[in-house]
Amino acid sequence: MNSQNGLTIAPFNSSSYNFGLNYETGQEQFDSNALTSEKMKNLCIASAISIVVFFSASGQHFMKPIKQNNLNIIIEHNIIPKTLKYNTKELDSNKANLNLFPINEYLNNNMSIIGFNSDNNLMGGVNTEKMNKNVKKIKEYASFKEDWNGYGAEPFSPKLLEFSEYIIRNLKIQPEIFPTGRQSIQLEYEQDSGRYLEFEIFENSINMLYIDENGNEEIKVLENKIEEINKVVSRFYE
Amino acid sequence: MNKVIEPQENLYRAVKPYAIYKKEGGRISSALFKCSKGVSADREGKRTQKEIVTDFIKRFGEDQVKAIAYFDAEFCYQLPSYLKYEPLPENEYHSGIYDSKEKIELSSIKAKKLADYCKLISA
Repeated sequence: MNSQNGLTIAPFNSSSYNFGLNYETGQEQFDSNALTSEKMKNLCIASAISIVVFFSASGQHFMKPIKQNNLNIIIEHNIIPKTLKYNTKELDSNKANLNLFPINEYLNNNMSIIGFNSDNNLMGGVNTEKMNKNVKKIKEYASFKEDWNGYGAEPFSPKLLEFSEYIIRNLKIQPEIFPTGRQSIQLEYEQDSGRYLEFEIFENSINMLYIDENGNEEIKVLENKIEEINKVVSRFYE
Repeated sequence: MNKVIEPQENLYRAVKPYAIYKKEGGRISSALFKCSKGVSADREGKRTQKEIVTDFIKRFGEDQVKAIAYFDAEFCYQLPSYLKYEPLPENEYHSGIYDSKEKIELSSIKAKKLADYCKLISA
């Protein structure tokens, strides 16, 4: 296990150290025993990897969310030239074009990642700990009986739990989750500044509440579900 | 007991199950105050906090009551929410907190404000 800036990177297996892409040349670097690009892609899908992280030698970290067919997967050859990593102005302009975000804001979210180490080699790694914890919580909610909160709350419907699990498994950044006494599951994101983002998942709808650092509120019913949630959450951490 | 809950009177609600409602920062989630039948709480009713905690433990069991959230009625009135004293045969202090006279469930923003405002007692 390796740790960089609080993010733990667990190798897929020993051979994953031999697989990589040089981010300057974009060339694959792997030996005969290494994972192939295709295998790595399949591993990403199986592990619900949502983010590709580029670790630069200078210690700057950037990541790129990638989507394909509603699954988040790695794209092997979309390597950012090293020069852009060190030039803030160029990076800023490329943020918009390449959909790049500083990783530091996301470090506490235990997201799934693929990482390049300082030798430009893909280390390979997943950290789905928080997602798994949230999925486990939802499974626990399924066992709640009548009056589980001592105030007459009813058990959760399988439909709500399935929908909630689907949302959790497809979130790029994991929230804290809580059950309510009104047949809904609540997802919460909060920042030290006081900014707060909440999604309340019902069987057939999702309500959003956003509160900014000045206490201004925005309430919305989301139509596009997971796509919109991911978009709103990304914006919340920008 | 006076039917009207005076602003200075405190209201108490068991945080149950505590582990489920406790947030990473130590506060509690507003999900605690989202209930389809309105938020049940016990009014103070001239009891001491120690007596109130004992009453909760008697009702739910010691292992079930790890924390109790409390807040003054004035805050509920200012939200604004609708407070109603609704004694039950098994609990003479039972009261209900509703979004308004017309709406039962607290809105998300009111639940959030209540969660941010309330204080916790460890039982």
